[in-house]
Amino acid sequence: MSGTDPAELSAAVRAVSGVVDVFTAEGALVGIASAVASAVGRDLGRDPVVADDELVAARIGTSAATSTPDVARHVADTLLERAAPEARVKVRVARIS
Amino acid sequence: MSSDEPRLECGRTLEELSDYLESGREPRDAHAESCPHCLNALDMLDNAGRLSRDLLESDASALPEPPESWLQGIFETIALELRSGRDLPVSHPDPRVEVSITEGAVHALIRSTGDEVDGVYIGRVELAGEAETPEAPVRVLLTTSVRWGVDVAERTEVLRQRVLSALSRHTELNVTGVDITVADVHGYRGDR
Repeated sequence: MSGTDPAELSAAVRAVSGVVDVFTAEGALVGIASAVASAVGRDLGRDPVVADDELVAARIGTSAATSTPDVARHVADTLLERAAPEARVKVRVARIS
Repeated sequence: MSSDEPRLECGRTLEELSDYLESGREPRDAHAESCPHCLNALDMLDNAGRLSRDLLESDASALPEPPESWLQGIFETIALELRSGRDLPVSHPDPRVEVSITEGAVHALIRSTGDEVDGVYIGRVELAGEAETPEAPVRVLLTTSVRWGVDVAERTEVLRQRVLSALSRHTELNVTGVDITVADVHGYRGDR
């Protein structure tokens, strides 16, 4: 295991072939905060992959030129390698483009 | 801005995104360019614009005036389809892992796949069945508009095969059929 630093995990997910984006965590608060930041011309810094000892979660976009299930499984395997031993891993594909 | 405008889960309205699209996506909207709901909506609105251009290029005088609610209807349909909806499962051998594809992403995939078929515009997309249950039978229900003069049987078969191919490649759904309803004809020219 090489740690559960969200920035490192995000970079590892982005490096998986077929991943075209890693989106920030879902939720109204995130959406509102992002919209407000956007309105004043700022882009929120983001560590899209959420991680603690119990859960590692990523929301991704995949390339239409690849197989989405294969890419998503590869992302899950990448996170599993880096997650705490008992942590659950959740990968959700929110866009195929 | 009316509170009952079709709105995405992230809070943006489709009218805002439509304006952004019309401006050539300038100045860059950081949220819209990094939000899956907005990005899927921008794709859909771009395709809806293609249909509008088709209509303008045709002999519009031969067409009845579209109802005022036409564009609003498109917005409402897109907003509904883009909701994340159900999580469609993807298998993984490790029980600690949960992999899924949002229903909204699959709707957007089907719509973009269908809109690439020349002469066809996708009006509505629905996944009928327990799509959130692995291996449960699912039917894809599509409502379309086709361009005047095309071979409807041939175009709908091309559409069916492309949708089946896309779903086979990008999901693990057990698709038992693609039911296509041609609900409208666009681009009618009176001189043909």
